[in-house]
Amino acid sequence: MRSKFKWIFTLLIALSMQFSFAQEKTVTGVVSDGTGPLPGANVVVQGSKTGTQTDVDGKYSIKAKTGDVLVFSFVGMTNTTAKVGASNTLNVKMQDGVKLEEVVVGALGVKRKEKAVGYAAQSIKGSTLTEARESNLVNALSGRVAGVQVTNSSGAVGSSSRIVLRGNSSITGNNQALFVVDGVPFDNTSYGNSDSGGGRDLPNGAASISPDDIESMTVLKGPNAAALYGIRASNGVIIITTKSGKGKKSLSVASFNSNITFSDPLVLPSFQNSYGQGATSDFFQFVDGGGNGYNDGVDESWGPALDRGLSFVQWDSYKVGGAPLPWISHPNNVKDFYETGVSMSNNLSLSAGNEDANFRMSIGNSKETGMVPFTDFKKFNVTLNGNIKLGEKLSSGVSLMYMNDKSDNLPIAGYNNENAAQQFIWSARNVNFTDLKDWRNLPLAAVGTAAEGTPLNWNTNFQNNPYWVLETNTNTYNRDRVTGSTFLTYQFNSAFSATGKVMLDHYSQLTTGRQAIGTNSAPDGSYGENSLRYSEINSEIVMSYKKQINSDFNLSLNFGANQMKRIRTQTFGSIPGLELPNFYSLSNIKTGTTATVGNQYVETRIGSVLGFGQLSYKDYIFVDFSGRNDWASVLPVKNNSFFYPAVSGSVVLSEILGMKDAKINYLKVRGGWSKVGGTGALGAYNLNNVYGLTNNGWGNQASTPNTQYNPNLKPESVVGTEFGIDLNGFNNRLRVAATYYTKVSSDLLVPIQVSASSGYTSVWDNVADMENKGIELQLGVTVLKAKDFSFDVDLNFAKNQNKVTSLGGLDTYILGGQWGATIEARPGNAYGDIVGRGFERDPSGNVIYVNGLPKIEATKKVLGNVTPDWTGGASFNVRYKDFDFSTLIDAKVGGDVHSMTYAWGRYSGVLEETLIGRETGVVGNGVMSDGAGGYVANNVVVAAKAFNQTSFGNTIEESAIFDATYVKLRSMSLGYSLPKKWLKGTFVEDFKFSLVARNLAILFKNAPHIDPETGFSSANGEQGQEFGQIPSARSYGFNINVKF
Amino acid sequence: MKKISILFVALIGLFSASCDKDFEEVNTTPNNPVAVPSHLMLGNIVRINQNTIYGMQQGGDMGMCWAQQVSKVQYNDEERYIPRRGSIDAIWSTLYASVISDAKSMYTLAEAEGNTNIMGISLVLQANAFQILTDLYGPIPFTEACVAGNLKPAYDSQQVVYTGILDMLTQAETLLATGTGTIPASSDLVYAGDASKWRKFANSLKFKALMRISKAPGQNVAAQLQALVNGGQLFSSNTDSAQISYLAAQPDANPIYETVIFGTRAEYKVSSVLLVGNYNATTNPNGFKGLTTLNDDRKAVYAQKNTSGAYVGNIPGVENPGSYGAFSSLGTKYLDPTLPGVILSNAQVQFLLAEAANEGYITGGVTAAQTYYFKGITANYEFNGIGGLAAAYTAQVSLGFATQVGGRQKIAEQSWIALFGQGFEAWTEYRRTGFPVLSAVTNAAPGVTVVPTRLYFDSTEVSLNKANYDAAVATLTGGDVLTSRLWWMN
Repeated sequence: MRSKFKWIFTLLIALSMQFSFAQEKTVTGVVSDGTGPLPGANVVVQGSKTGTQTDVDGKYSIKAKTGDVLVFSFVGMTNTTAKVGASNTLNVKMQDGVKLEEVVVGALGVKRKEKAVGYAAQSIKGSTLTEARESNLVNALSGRVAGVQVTNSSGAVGSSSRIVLRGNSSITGNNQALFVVDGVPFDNTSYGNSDSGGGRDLPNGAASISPDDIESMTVLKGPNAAALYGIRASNGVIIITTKSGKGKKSLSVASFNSNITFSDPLVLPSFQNSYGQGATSDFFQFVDGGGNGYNDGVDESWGPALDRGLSFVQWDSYKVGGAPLPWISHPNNVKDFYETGVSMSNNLSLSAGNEDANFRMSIGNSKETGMVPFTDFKKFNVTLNGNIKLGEKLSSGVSLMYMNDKSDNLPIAGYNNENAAQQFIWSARNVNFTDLKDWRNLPLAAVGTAAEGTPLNWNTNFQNNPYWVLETNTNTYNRDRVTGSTFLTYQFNSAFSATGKVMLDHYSQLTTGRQAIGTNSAPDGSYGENSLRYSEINSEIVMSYKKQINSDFNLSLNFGANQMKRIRTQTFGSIPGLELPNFYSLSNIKTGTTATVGNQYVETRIGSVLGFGQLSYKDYIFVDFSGRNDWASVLPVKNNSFFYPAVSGSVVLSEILGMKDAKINYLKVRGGWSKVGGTGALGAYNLNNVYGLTNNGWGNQASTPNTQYNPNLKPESVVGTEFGIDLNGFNNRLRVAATYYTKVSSDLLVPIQVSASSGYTSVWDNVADMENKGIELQLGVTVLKAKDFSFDVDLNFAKNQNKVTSLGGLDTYILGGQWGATIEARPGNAYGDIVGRGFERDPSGNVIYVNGLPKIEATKKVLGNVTPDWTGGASFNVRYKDFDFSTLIDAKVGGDVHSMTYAWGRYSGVLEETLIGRETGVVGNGVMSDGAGGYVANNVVVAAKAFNQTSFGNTIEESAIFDATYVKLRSMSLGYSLPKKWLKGTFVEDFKFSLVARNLAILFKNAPHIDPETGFSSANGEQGQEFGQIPSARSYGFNINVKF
Repeated sequence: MKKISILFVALIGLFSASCDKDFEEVNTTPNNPVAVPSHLMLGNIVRINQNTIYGMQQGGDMGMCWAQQVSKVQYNDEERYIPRRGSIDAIWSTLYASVISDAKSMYTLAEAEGNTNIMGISLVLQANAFQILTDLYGPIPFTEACVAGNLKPAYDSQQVVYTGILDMLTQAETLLATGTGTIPASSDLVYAGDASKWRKFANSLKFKALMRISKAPGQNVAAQLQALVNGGQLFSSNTDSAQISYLAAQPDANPIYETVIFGTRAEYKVSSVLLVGNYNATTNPNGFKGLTTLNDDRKAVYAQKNTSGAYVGNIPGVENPGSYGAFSSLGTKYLDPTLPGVILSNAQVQFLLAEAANEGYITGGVTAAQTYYFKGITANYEFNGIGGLAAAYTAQVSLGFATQVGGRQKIAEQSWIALFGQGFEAWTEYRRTGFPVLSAVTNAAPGVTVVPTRLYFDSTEVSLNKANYDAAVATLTGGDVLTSRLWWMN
């Protein structure tokens, strides 16, 4: 790295030299604001490439000619200009910038004054993303923006995150926001295949974006804001604007950021440490770990008591010639298994610009090692963008991002014996797992056991040596992605311009999976490769017309057209057995077995014509309108055209009413209505039935699909309405924004589940309706503001009420599930009911016991729902001299989670709750029959094992459903910027060092043993479920940012 | 302004014209064929059917364990009558959506091709699947099942289903008797393209269906059975048996192997009932005496010795997780990947003939019954690779019978022994004949006092097809529970 940087520095210095100019005279002065001198303000000679910054005392010195205009700027202040006169001194007092002049990046990248926007849009700055950074960009939005619900699947490296704005609006569509990066729709698909039964999670697409390149992220929450992005925008849009050389004026800036963090598990189950392996507590003897000893094939901990001086032959007795070893506890055996994850990221950027051209390049990399041994994730990215004025009327620009994401091994999730966390639940509390790490020097599992031929493990029946699995059965991921756009704008005259733009999002990825011979679930081993290529090209023409109708009215009109073409191809192959051990190639197929090979080509196209515009009156009444017509290839030709309009407006009351009173200095009301059409979950080729071909050992066989296609489908629609108010008071020290919205989805395209006796298990149809309504509140308070000290508090709150209003006569739609629990959409309820079996109860609600064991209902019912009641965040920012401190608390309240870690952990006797009644037995809390039709308190004592194995497990779901509420200390950073005077005379302009932390603590939760923020992946049907969770990571470290 | 309008109109015109051009072509899949020859579907239908009923979570946990031929030393909830609903649902959805539905598609394709042989085969496979379904669940959608446009098929009574099954098989006999059209050997996993064997299968399956309802209320199947015997198109040797040859490697291996060996679920052991029986002179005088007492050579085929060199079965319902090695695993033949997946064996047909003769449905009486019965035993010995020992075994006085009553139990018990490995069929025949005399397993689920007599309906029916589901449940005494009585039960 060092030599690389050296080269870039050389380049940088060479570039900076070009921007030096001959001096005229030296102007000096002091820049101040209401509270005193202002250090770090930018001073630029207008129209030139000369610029500087004020020092710690607010002083500046710049070379300029008489008559030049100096432009002073500072974050949060209104730009001030001053003409250089005869005097060589020019002191300037800057005014606090008015928040309402903030610019919002709206649909199609059109920048708008905040006051002219009629819908809720909330931005966060890039700087909040880089310090206490998240390896998955989506996570950085959690708690920051009202109405954004982020769920990180797990603490595994490369895990996906789900982001939903204003609630789920579709039954089977992905329900997640559309990402748009510098105007380019950025595919956010996660190609992971993890679910309750295993598989590997892969990051969602947006996780590839380097936070170092982000200038701002703007969340357009409702369909109002999104109408112009077409059918993919019905779930809201997240607009990412990358940093550019714009506004850099004469300065060239190089910036270097380095971040190192360490992570450890935030939550681990609380295990019992009093009883060891076994099904019975009388005796234990390890022979082969496969059931040929006494209880040695059992992966439960109902065995003999630990730490009581007992000794048994155990898995590691081979070390002592097969002699018994002390039967003792290892309370940290699971904690010790997880390693300290290390994440390092570096980024160097360079930007420069003048009035005619600007440019920015950045190069970055990051390397993470997971808490799960032998897992990692690496990223490398290069970003380049530039804009240039090619003449009086013609301008052009290009932006390109190259991203490489790579992992040598990603862990397996869910209920799978390759997920190490599974063998901590189906487990022996007497085993010190780290003793298994040196697997190369362990004896092999005995002949005849399931793990035969692989390194020894404490259990060879259901499990392999976990370290061997992680190091041998690797799952790799490698993705190269290029996104970018280029445009050409021709300004015919001051009123009329035309822009042509071509946008590209392209990636190729390869995933591979290895299973060594002897793997529990693949005794012959296996190997598979999946190669995927995606490309989406959008070509767009927009013509813009701006006219000042008279002194009061302004009009802008835009018309355009867009063609979208998306092609995804996939080639995959896997072999179900290896001929030669430890050799992973598709050619190494075990003799006599049949490889699975296949390919897929999926093309979709959308053609669009669009128009949008704004009419404003006196800069305080604004009306926006837009219309778009899409033609989508996935729909039947007769129904493939759909139009959707939107209108929104804002009225700045404070200006109309002339409220210059400091108590309320800004008051705006806004509202909007929009309709967005969509194709939801409908993919290509779902209209006409075809046959499937399967090649197996007998030859090629044909079948009919279990989904019945439907040639009469039509588009679905989402209608959104919202009203809001923005109010600033006390010189903007109080900032309030409130929004009420409704979102009604109808004719949702769903492959409805039907009785299999119809010959199909699902049928595509436009059947479902769903609605969301809610409120979003933001409150910002500048508690203190002084020269050296400021204290800001920002709160946000969002409550969304979701209801599935109709399923077209169906009672339910099953989205997913694990074991006996299903996640369903049921009419009348919120999306995401958890359905399973409950305990039978007497009329007073007490659990009914028979012979001391609870009775379980035969029919399933709704036991919970994954949808939270409300989400909120609170951030606190303190600045004192050169120190700044910020922290974020993030809350998700309500909603439920079905935890199989809990269910199986109780069943297997590893959790601390299973200690209750081990010696004395358990009397279940409830009633039993009094023999005469009534009930009396249950008084039958049963063994703890029988009690736990009946009350928990896969035959009863109610006992494993918990409130998923959490309040997390999401991030914290403490930064120190070196005083400017220290840096004087060096080539360094800014130097900031920060201590950073993410996910420091869960301040409140109700679900035991796990982090309730969990899912098997970011998919709809994998939410609210948990088993063998790879613990979420608590990370802490430091960040260094240097500007040259 | 004018310039703009012209440009705009031109632009819109350009785009609208091309907006959905070729979209129909774009949205035509290049990944799947829109037409296939009918025979290409045949292998898949049979394979899926057999994989489903041989699947250890289905035919193992509920079939073999409920027939008490196999017993699990650990994780035995299903054996104790707490089955996994998902496994039960899988049988329903697979047999309807992937077997019957595909067989109907195959029929339509074959009809268009003029291939009456494949039309006949389709009916045989549909009849077989419907029979499995009705024998497991009771009333099921039949007349309205897999009919285009009907997403909520009504259930039919078992009597209606059986009438339909018999009609299908009669039609199949007609089609196959004068069949035209080839069946490529590579597509026919059962008979390698031999239509004459499919004809025998159609008739033998009909014989089985008639025998199953032989004691159902109001049924008199004697004439139809005699007609089938007279027709001479029943199985007469093991080469007639309808079975698929599984392959040596997963995922095309026998599902028993795939779960127990490949999936390393060693908790499946042979049951003590099979090995030593449950006979007790006082408490269970009609009990089964066990392979050991019967000097049955199949013991060494069905079971392996435990680690101490003895044949020890696990007592059904009792967990012995401490030591797997103390109990007999299934015999190596039954854990072999190439163990055939039997749809209907010659042996079973011989036992059914024996029973039909013994009951007087067909001619020959007890004497003929015993002849068929010995043929059945011999056929099964041959299947198990010990055909040479059959003569000595059947020569044992204790094996023979001279009375109808004696024959009834012995035929049923031998049929049950011969159905080892065919879990559901063994359980079904037990439910029909009542032999061997079994009682609910130790530690049975609270409230269950008898061996289950049916499966729950698919758990999604209650929401996806509620009105019809409710109507069907109303016809079951006791409702949608494991112990409701089926129409044909003895």
